[in-house]
Amino acid sequence: MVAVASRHIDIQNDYLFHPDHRNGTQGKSQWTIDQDEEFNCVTNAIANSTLSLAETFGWGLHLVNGLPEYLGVGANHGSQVFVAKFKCHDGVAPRQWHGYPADHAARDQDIPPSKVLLAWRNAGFLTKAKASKILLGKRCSL
Amino acid sequence: MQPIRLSIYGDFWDSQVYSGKLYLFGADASILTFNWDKLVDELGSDESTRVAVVAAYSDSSLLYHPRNQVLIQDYEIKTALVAKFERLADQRFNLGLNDLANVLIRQQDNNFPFPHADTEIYGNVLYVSSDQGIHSGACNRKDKYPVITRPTRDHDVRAFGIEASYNALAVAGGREGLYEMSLTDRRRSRGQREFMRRSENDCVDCNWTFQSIFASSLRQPGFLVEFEKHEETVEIEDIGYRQARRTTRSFRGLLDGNSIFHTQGYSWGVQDKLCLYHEGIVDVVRYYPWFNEPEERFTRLTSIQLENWKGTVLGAASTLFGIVLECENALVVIPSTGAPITLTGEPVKWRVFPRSKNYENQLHVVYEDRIDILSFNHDYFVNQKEKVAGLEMFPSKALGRQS
Repeated sequence: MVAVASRHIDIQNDYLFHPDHRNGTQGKSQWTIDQDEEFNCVTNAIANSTLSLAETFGWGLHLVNGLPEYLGVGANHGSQVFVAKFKCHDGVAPRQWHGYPADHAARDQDIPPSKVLLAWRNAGFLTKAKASKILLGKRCSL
Repeated sequence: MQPIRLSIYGDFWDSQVYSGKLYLFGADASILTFNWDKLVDELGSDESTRVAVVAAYSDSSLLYHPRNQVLIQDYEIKTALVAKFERLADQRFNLGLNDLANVLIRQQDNNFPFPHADTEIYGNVLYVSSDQGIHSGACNRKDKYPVITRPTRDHDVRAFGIEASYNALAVAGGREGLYEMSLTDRRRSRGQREFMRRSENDCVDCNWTFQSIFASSLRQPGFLVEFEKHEETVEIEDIGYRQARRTTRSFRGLLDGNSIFHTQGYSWGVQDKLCLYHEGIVDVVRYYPWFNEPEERFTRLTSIQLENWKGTVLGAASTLFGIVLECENALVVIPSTGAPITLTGEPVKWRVFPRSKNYENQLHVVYEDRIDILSFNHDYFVNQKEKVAGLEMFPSKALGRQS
């Protein structure tokens, strides 16, 4: 059994770096940023209230100098993506989170909720135009 | 002929124009309702351009009406009208919210889900689609708040594009498919409306092709859900009995976009025009549903080549005045006559009103810092039977009847 690298988020929550999203697994999106940067996406998402440790889903961006940059490629291993989705496996203690690059143009379930997009827009991370495209599942570039 | 442009500066998300009112959805989750007719009246205060302003912004049917065609076809009258439209196109209207203070009816909180995916106004009811479902509530109200402050949730399906016609709301449900929500029985408690899935195929936008629905997808071919229309006379129990004509629709079949266009690309359909974009080309198919044979219902008209075209189309619509294509950083309008017009700048939202009685020549485009309300008026002078880029103006529509 391959050990999965992980980090503590807090005493009740751990974050696992899922290997499927780093080893080229077919049909899985792939991170193009390193694990430190991936974990920073998580902590930034908590700080920006787009990930709540009390819930089971959260959303994040890879912020460089306060602006989002690409963080991975979609399941087709071609389309660049800049939104991360985080999911929690609730049935264990500590709770285990993992994340993956979310391709909003390929899957409806990878479209962040409207309140998350609004929060990103109000924080200055996204323009209205980008938020609108993501909400409608339209591909867009940074 | 260039469009006439009215810009209102502010932070907006979406817009609607309906029954003499302009609704602007603020990015701060507000709704601003303006007296649009009064604003147009003020813009048209110069008598030399008044008829053009009215036709451009509050009564597009004026110059489409069959009774007025003999005037439009008069060379001197046509020349004068064209000159008026061109003069207005040169004179761009720029307004701030302070300039609109005397036409503002109300600014109120937007208690619909926000930000939303799409909006539609039909029968004085505002419908809003979002990831929280379909919500609705009365607008065009005469009391303190023009838009209802407590909307009702009609359904919880995640919804993208919505369009209403034939007393029904077509709902593009993404991977959940295409739905149709009945709007006939307003006495029925909201949340209990008939909600039917018409297709399981992925779609993010939809529009009405007469009594049928064309659904567009960014991931798969679009498709046409075809219906036949039936008119019948029924007796209605009101005060005594009275007769009324009722229109019903029956399912005819579902047609994949590949079987209509025989090629892959982004497709859409509105009224008599079904279109597909692929690699810089727009294929246009005319749709006349009153014919029984498929080869008569679907007629390949032409392919419009867009020169120096690069990039993907993210959305599109057909209108009376032409075809609107959405690219990532611009909109391109292929007019029913003349060269394509590029509107540079990444749009936040854009919308056209092909089934409107008075605003079918308008294109609304929301940008980061403003909304542009463009009016295209070249189409009044185009032969409706022969045009390919743009919907045909049928005499019944020009007379204000549903087509």
